[in-house]
Amino acid sequence: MKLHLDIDQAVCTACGVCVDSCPTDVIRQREDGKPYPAFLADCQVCFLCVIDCPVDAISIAQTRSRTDAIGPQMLDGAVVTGRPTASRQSGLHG
Amino acid sequence: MVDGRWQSDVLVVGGGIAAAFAACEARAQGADVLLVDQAHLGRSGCTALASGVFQAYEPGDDDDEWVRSETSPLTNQRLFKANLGRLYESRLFLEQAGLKLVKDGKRVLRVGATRMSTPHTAMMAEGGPQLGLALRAETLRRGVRVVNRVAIMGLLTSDGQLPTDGRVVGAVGVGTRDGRVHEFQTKAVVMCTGPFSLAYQPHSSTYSTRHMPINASGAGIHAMWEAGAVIGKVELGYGSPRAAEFQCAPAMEMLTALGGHTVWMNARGERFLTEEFRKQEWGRSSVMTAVMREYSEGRGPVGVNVSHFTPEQRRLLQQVVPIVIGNFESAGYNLAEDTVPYTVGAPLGHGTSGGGARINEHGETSLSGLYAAGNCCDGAYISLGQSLHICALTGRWAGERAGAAAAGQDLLPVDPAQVALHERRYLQPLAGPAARPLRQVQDRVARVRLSLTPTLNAQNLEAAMVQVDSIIDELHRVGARDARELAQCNALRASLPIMRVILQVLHHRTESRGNLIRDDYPYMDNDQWLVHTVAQRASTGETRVWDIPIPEEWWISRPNPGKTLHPYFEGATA
Repeated sequence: MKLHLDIDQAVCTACGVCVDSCPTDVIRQREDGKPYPAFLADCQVCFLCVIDCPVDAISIAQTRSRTDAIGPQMLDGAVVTGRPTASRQSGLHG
Repeated sequence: MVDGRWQSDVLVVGGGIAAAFAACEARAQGADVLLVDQAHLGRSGCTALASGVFQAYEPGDDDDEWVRSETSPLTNQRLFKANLGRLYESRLFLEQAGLKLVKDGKRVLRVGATRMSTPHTAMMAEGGPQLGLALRAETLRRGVRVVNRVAIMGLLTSDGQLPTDGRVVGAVGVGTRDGRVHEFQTKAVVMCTGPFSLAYQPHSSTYSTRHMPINASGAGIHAMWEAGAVIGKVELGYGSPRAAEFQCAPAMEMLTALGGHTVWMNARGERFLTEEFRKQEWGRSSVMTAVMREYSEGRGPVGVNVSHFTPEQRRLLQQVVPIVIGNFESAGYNLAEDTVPYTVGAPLGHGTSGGGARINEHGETSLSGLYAAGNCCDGAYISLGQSLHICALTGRWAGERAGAAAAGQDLLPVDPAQVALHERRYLQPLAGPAARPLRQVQDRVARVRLSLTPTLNAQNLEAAMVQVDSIIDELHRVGARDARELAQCNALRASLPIMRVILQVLHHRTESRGNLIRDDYPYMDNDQWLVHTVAQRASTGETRVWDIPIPEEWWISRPNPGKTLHPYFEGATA
C-alpha cells in the first residue's frame, strides 16, 4: 500500500487547521506557514485533514497492490486463498 | 528541568468523548478544570475516528430489550438499566453542543440493530468527524482550560511511591513536539486516555492493528497500572475486524445497521455471518469470530459487500461514515460493485470494548484521587462493548464525582524527586544512540501478536510472554533523535508492560468467551468463569492476577450454569 497526501500549495491559505487536525501530528508548517506532510509514515489515513481543510486543498490517495496480502500474515499457518488484483489508484478529489 | 507547571482542581487526561464529558461535568460542579491531550481535543483517540453512529436510547424504548442487547452474564445489568435515562440525556447534551443528527421530521431517525428487534442506532448527519468538533466547542465554551500536544506519561502520588499507598496528586507529561516536561498538580485526575494499542506503526505494516485507536498507546492504562490501580476487563476486549490494507474506523455497526448481517461475504461469494454467531455476547465480537473462522477454514479473503444497498443507503453511508468510505474510495473501490476486503486484527490491542482501570459507577478507581472513563477503564462492566454512548456516560460519572470531590480537597504537594524520576525516564532515549531502531522493535512486537492467531492456548501465550519480556529488557537500547521519536519510544515503553498484563490475564482465564478464543479451553464456562479477572502491580513489581465473583444483584436474569462450546468451534470443519 502506497500513500499519497497532497496539499495543493496554490489553494492552501496556510491557516494551520490541518496541523491541529492530525491525531498523529504528521503535518507541520514551513516557515512561510504552508503545511506539508513531514511524517507521512505515521499517517493513519483518517481523512481528518481532508475533511477539516476549509478550502479543500488536501487530497489522499492510496495505491493498493494486492487485496489478499493481509490474510496469510494475519492468520499465521492458516490456508488462505485469494486472487490478486491489478494495482489501481484514485484520489478522493479526482 | 520542568518546563511547565500547572495547577487545577481537576485534571482530565484525553481528548475524546469521555474526556469532553468528564471535563464539562466537572465544570458543572464548579471545579477549575484543565484538560491535557497528546493530540488535539476533538481530534484525538477513538473519537477522532468515530464512525458516525451511536446507540441512542429514547424514552419509551423497551428497557429490557436494551439490557438483553448490550449486556451479558459478565455485565452489571441492573446498573445498565438504571442508566438508560442518562444515555438519553447524553444525546440531548450532544445535540445542544451542536452535533447534527439524521432526523425524520423532529424525531431522531434510528436504524437497525444486531441483536434488537427495534432500531436503536442514531446517525450523525455530518458524519463522525463533526462529533469531535462539537465536543471541542462545548468544552471550551464551558471554560475548560486545554493543553494540547502533551502526552501524560506518569502519575504523581502523595507518598512519592509507585505503586502508592497514598493518593494521586498529579501527573507528568512530555510535549510531543518539543520534548518539554510538564508537571500537573491537581486534586483529582480523570484518565480518559482510550484503549490499549500500539501507536505509531508504519502505514505499510500489514500486521498492525490500527483499526481504531489511532494514537492511543495505552500509556494512560500503563500510568494507572504503575501507580497500583486494579486493572480489569482486558481479557475480553482485544482484536477487531478491519478493512484489509486500510487503516480506518470499523464501519461494521453502520453497515450492519443498514444491511443486516448480509454485508459479509467470503471468497466463495457466500454470505456468512450466521445466526449462531450473531447470538454471541456482543455484536462486534461475533463479527470478528465469524470473519476469523472464514479465514482459518480457507474461505478467505472475506469482504464487505454493499452492492445490494439502494443508492439512498449508499449515500447515507457516505454521509455518516466519511472516513471509512473515503478510505475505500481513495484506494479505488467502487462500493456499488466491489467487495471490500476485511480481516481481523491480531490480538493484544483493544478498541471499543474497554479494559483498564477497574471503576465503580462513580468513575472511581481503586486509588484515591484517581478516576477513569471511556476505554481506558472497565466501564464498571456496564456493557461489554464500550462505544461512544458508554464513553460519554462513564465520562459523566467520573467528571461529576471528581468535580464534587475536588471541592472539599486541598492541593497536595508533589514530590520533586518523583517528578525528576519520571523526567529522567522519559528523556532517557535522547541520551543513548539509536542502537535498536524503533521500527525493528515494533516489528518484533507485531510478530508476537501474529503468533497468537487464530486461536490462543497456553503454549502460544507462554511463548508470547517470554518474547514480550525480552523486548522489554531491550527497550533501554532504543534511542530517539528528536521529540517525535521520543514520544514514539515512550508510547512503546508504556504499551509493552500492559501487553504483558493482558497476556497474563488471558493465560489465567481458562475458557473461551467473546473475543477470548482458546483452542485448549473451547467452552464458555459459566460454572467456573462467571467472574471478572483482574490484575494489579505489587510493590515488588510483580503483577498479581486474581478473580472477583460477580455479585448476584448485578443480574436481572440469572445466567444459565454449565459449559457451552464457543461458536468459533461449533461445527468447525478445519
